[in-house]
Amino acid sequence: MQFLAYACAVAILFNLSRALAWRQGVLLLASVGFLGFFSHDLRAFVPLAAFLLFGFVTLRLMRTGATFFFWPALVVVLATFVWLKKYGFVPASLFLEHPYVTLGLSYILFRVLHLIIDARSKYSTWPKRIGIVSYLNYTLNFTTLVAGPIQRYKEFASMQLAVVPLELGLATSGEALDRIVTGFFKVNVLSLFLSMIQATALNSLFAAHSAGPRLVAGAAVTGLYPFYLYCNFSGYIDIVIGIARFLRLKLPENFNRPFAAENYLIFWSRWHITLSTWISIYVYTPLMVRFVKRWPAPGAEPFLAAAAYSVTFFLVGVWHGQTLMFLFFGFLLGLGMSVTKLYQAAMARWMGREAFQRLGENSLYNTLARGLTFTWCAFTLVWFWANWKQMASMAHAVGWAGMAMIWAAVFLIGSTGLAGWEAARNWLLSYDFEGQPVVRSRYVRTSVVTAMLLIALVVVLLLNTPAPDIVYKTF
Amino acid sequence: MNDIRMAGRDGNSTTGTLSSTPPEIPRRDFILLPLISLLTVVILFSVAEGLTRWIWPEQKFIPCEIDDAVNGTRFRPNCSARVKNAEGPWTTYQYNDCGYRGKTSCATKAAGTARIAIVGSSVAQGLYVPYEQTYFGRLANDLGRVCGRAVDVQNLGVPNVSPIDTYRRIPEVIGLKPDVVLYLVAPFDLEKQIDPTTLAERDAPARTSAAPAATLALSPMKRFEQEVIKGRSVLVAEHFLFENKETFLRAYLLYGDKADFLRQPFTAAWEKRFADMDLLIGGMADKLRTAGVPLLVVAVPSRAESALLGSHQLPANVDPLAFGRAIAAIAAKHGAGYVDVIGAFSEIPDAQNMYYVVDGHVAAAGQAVMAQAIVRRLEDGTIPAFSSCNPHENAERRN
Repeated sequence: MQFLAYACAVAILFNLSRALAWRQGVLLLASVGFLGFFSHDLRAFVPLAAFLLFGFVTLRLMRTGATFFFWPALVVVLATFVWLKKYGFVPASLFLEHPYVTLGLSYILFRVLHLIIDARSKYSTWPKRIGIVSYLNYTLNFTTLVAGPIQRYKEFASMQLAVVPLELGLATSGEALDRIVTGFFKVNVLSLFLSMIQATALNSLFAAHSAGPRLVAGAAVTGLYPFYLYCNFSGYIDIVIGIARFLRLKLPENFNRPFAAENYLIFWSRWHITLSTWISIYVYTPLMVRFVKRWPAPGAEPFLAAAAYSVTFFLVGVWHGQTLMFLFFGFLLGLGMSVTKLYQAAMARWMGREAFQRLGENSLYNTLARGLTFTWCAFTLVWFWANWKQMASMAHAVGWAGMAMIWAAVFLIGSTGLAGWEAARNWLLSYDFEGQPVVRSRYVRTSVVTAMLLIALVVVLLLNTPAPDIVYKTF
Repeated sequence: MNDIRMAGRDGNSTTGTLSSTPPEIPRRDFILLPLISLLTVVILFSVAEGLTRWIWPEQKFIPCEIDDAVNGTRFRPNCSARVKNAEGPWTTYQYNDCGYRGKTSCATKAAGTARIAIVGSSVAQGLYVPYEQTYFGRLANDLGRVCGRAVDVQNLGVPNVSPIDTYRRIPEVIGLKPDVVLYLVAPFDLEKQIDPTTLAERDAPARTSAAPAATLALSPMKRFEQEVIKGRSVLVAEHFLFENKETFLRAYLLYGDKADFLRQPFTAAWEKRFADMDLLIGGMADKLRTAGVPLLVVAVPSRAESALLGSHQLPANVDPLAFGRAIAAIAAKHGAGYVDVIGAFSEIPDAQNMYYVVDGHVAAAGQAVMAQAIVRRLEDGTIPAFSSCNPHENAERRN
């Protein structure tokens, strides 16, 4: 709510003038002011400021052709990130003692790396000089600071530095509000309830005395987390996309119905899209180019791709957190991607490409494939929310056979549930009005958004006022 | 990786993307869209309220309630009423020939029968719990079995009364010739500060008659609050939200003064409340001692206390046992006994589930815990009328 109120105030101020200097100034002040919410001690911002300054100096050097500094700069940026984020393998004695702000550093890293790498390219179409205000607005933009999405500089600059800003009419404002309310509902209602159900299921997993309730609780604990994470993260993205539109910026989409994905490769093209796009450009593709140059045999391509996926997604896991859990999370992501790639290659070779494509159109195959993709997603995410101790307790509570049954249940419920959802969605979208599905018409959206807003407000108000007690109801 | 980038571009977003050229809005929509919005609110609220009122009906008014010159409220003798809070079952309240909740007559007790008199507010009355499942219903059965003699319970508990009203009923209690008096007190009984003048005149026999609560005229704002803001749908939403212990505790601790009985050290306001209780419990104990009747004070935990009792990590300065300790100290100071119900609740995991979530009263499961704790205390041999109920002593006597 505070974030929304702050963004609302910034949006009003931002739109008082269409002048470029005003828009740049307001965005910069808003972003710096936003950081101010997290610490009132200026010293706490010194490491972040130094990180940004180093990135800016390197960017300038790259633009002036001093490319000899590229690799050392890259190493320094990555090493500083690892040090500031206190990765587990760095000796604790090396860490700074004074508390400091690292909010958004993970996303700032992507932006800084993107700027440095692309600035070095001789094909870059960027202007020779990128000013400090543009640089800070890009790296610190308060709408994308905390959790993305990761926008590319050229796209950002085309809107932020445009002499004539993007239009913001009534219809656009309505659409932006729709996104904000949808996101608010996802974060404050859906993800809240899902996390509450998951927490209750986790408690009953250990408290239940018989196998049946334990298995149900286990399936709820593991199967609900992906939905919780989706509602939470994509809800936040919806909110910032809506807010940014009021600042005359269009942020890239970060989610596209990930649970509709029929394989793990497609899943990652629909989940945290800007991260997978970034990592594809700056890690996967360069790796593949090197691999193919080194081992040019055509039959080796699936294996090379699998290896490149493993490395790439292992890094994705490492980026997510500082502990051994996240290293394993990254390993599982890479494993999922590699096995999917190898499976596709093997099936295409065994059945023939056309037959394999036809199999992909079979609804039963798709249902099972979607269920398997979801199950793998839920399985990998266990390393995202649980620690080794919790996992051991869960294994102890249900036993290995119980674990197998839980995952079988997640697969079955995931397959049928998601297939049912897809069928219902397709049925709803089949009714048209004025050339678009009725459910997407502004009349239906107005009603749906009002309902979501009302429910979300009731939940937020209830949670932020004291719980009812006996006297209130009795007197 | 091309698979990744290509597959993401089918445009089938769940939430839809912000289009670059949104359609112009026709003039009619300037009226239609706000109307749709308003209609949605009305329909949503009406449907939610209608459904929740149908699924979770409520009848809190007790038609047996009458005005009383001494305690503000009491119940018509030989009256019965069906009541229900939204979260609980339909319950029939049966009042005996003195207007006390229970099935046994208040007439002179039969020879060989042990009599327990209970005073207090709604917690003492076992509000919204069927008689057989209340702590006092169980008490009569369990104690009768253990002691091998009839145990008659006279429950003088009246919802919404203050400790001073309870104090004023002590002469009436003495008239019943009980073998022991139980005074049940919960944190919410103390929330309203007692008026110093009323406290000073606590032994004055008469008081101004007050109109029964049900007939009080409500202001339009209050009525709006009761019907809309605190409607049934909101109550049901609260019920499901606050079933979750963490959510409930976080919200409960947002209270200031109301929740300060949980915080240590006690605030000046709560110290004052305990000082007032000290006077009243002291007065009750003195009067009962003169009549030769022992007093047992029973501190009943609130849902928040029970939830905190099962928490591994308590918030700073929060102590769920503080209220019970303060009441136990007051009881000990005046030579009254103390029943550790809070201790009994602390032995049960997730004891907060033994309450009506929104209403806050102890539900049937919690009543069983209360009954066990009281029976255990009465069995310990310190109350003469129940000394023969001590199983260990009986065994020794037999040897």
